[in-house]
Amino acid sequence: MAELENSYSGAPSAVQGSVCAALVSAGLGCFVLGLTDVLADASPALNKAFNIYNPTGALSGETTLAVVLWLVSWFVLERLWTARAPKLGAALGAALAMLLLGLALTFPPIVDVLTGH
Amino acid sequence: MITPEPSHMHTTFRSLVTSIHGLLFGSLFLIAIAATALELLRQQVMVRPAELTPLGRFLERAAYIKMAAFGWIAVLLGTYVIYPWYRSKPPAGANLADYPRSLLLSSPNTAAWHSFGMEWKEHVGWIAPIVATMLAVVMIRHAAALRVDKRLGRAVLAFACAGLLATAVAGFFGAMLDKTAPVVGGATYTVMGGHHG
Repeated sequence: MAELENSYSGAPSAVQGSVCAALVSAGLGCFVLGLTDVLADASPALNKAFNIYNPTGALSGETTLAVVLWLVSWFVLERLWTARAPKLGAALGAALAMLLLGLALTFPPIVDVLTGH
Repeated sequence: MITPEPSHMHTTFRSLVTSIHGLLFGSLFLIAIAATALELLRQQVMVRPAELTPLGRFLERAAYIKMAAFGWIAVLLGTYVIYPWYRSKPPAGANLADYPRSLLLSSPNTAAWHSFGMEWKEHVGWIAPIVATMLAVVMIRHAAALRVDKRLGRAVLAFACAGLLATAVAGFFGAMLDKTAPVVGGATYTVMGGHHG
């Protein structure tokens, strides 16, 4: 088993595609989480629109949208990329960029700069 | 001779739920995602992959599923049960000790615990279960591929580190907020009763 695993340097194409789908969709979910945080802070109208459960406020809509987009994109990308793997560098780069942006956009001082508060 | 006053250990329903959210599920999740990040790091530097027995594989998969479950339970309890208690608006003349958000914002010495700490925690905390679910699925389905394809392994490790960071931030501010303005209220329970002396 160890010899078999060490005998090639890359995963099979379908497996690469599946892992990329998981990473890119998770990155997208994180990015949407950060983006909706900024949008809800910048716009009272969007803040109201995101308020789908009043006791929790806009956070309810922001997180629901992020989770729905994450799961839908995962399902779609999994089907697409197990059939035909994406360019690995581009997919991993996009996933990591969206993850970092998502983390940055949840950081209050950055949100304040972007929204002018 | 002075008769000692009876002593009890009381807690409130909201304190109890907050403890279950942070001390139970939050802590277990933090340990689990840290262990997963460590396992991914180990896989990147190991010479020969460890082979598990069928029971070992079952336990490993169960651990990943539990990690994701702990993350979701912690974040959903926090967002939909505790956060509404935290942010509820006090009626005029109310004791602010029962309204943590308003209590924090009532003083310039504590306002940033809400405007910085809670604002960061409530959003970054959601990154953790998304990442943990992705990690669980990828580790269960494609662990061998992550060992042989270092680019995939390193990318998944980067996500695990981000998830760990998000969990640590949420955990730290959760603990500090609960020290500064605890969520209390609801029914009171006697956890333990006894006497001094």
